[in-house]
Amino acid sequence: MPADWTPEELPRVVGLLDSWLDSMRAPQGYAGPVSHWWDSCLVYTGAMLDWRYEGIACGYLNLYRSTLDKTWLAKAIKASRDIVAGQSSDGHFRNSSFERGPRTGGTPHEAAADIALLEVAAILKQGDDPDWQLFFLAAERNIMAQIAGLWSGQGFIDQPNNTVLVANKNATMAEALLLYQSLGQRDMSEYITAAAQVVLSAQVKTGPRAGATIHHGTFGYQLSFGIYTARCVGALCRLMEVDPRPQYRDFISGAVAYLTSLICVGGSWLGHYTNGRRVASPIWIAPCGDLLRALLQARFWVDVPEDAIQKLAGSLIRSQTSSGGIPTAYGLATRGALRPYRGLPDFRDLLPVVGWCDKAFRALSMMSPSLETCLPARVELYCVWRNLPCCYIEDDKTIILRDEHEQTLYEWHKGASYPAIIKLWT
Amino acid sequence: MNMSSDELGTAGIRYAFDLLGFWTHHSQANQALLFTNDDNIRGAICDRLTLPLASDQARIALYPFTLEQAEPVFDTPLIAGCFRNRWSYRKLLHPLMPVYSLQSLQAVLQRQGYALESLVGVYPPLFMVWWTLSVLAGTRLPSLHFQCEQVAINYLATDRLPGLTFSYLIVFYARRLDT
Repeated sequence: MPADWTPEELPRVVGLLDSWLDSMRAPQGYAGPVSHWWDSCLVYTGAMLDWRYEGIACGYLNLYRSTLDKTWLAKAIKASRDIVAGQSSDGHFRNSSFERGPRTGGTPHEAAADIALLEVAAILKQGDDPDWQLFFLAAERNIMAQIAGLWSGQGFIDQPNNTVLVANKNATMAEALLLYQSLGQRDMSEYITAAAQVVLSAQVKTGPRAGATIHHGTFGYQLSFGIYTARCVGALCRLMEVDPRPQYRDFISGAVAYLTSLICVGGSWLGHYTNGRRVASPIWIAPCGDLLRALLQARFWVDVPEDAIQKLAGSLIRSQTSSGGIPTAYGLATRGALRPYRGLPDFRDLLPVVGWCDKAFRALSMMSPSLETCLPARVELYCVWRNLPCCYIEDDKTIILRDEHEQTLYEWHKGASYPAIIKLWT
Repeated sequence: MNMSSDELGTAGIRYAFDLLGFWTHHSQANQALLFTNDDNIRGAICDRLTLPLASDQARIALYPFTLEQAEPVFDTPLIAGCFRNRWSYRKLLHPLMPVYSLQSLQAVLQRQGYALESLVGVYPPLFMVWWTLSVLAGTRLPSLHFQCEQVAINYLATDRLPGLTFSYLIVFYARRLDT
């Protein structure tokens, strides 16, 4: 089937995402409400130092590598400076818990922010820029804090008070450690090998979800998620570059088959229940960026169907609104349903979230050799909130939700730490 | 004993603290007073504040889970706080839980010359109905579990009677009448 997009569209799409990311900046960093499968953070909307920085910094570095335009390197450096400025004396990052709101010690968010710091440090070190040490040392302080608080001997636990070993969180930590090891010339293989083992042991070998990783943090539910499996692929691809092993290649091959099976019209299915039934609601949209990145990275190690890449890229491109953002999902209103959702999207579906759009930005920047400067335009979309019809309005200054009586339920001025109006529950 | 990290991470506690941060942010204050002996609550509130804490005087004072211990003498133009409600279903399950009542709050505010600007009940009974269904569905019916949990979250808070009266948590924002 031919792709429903052309490569000529990519520079405009990435350019519009760049403008949208600019519109979401607050003085202390990238801000905005968060919607997610687990929970949403709609009241606190200030800057958060979570995994959004991984996609933003790596995306801008991709653009810098392909264009050698220092504008993009400067944006990656600026993002890294946000992280450094928000680092506490204990090494952790301020507000690093994404959907869980403003709290420190988020996993895998701090490790993902370390990846951002270390990627920027690596490119600065290559250019003999002494500033690389600033970012390297900040990442080092955070990594040491995470080893002190989360290392169990078998892998990295979820939280100091939760000893479960979660595959994608170990994968992200392994990626950060690989970069740290390479830059710092310090052997971290003990941690990396153990974290990789956690990832390998979480993969399902047979059945309808073969190739997926089980999210052990879901305890009795034992859910498998496409986006988390994808993040494991990214880590193992990086590991293959320094330590190619057949079991890593087998993991990637199985995971690619699983991720490919999740691709659907408009995005990807969320994942599967332990009984093998597919979670058909919601469909991920912007988070599919991590699936797309995984497939692009996996191409170097295993066969990846080209049409899977085309479909995922097409879903991201076709979903982008004129504001520049990409909606998070479709179907969060019936979260967990076995049947696909039908009807108007939920407010939380439509919300473009920096910590999801960064994934689309990063993946699409891997495919786009250049970028067109584009200005965001106002968008008005019909949606529902708590089953009531509403209108979602976004421009470069605000995000607004109005009900059918024109009453404003939510109004956030971009960059503010709180909405001006929040009447979502009252 | 400090509030546990698990409890601080629950949707309702987070929403209650987010509201305190929201009101403080919009209070036009330069500093805020925070009354709590719980280090974890102090940390969670500070994470949400967009202005520094004061040591003696401020335009707004915050009382997160402190009214259950003692009724304070309010001394700032604006006050905001939250407490575990005496008349919630939760009190039936945990009879020894320290609580405070909406009626006591209204009385003390009137006595000290304050008017309620906002009153929100978090975890109202309707939330608990759907939450209980989600727990009953559990791992045997995971799809139903997550769908019921989602509906419960849709009913996380209310400002309407009778849900407000019987909510587990009450969050309030009041203004001194002379301001």
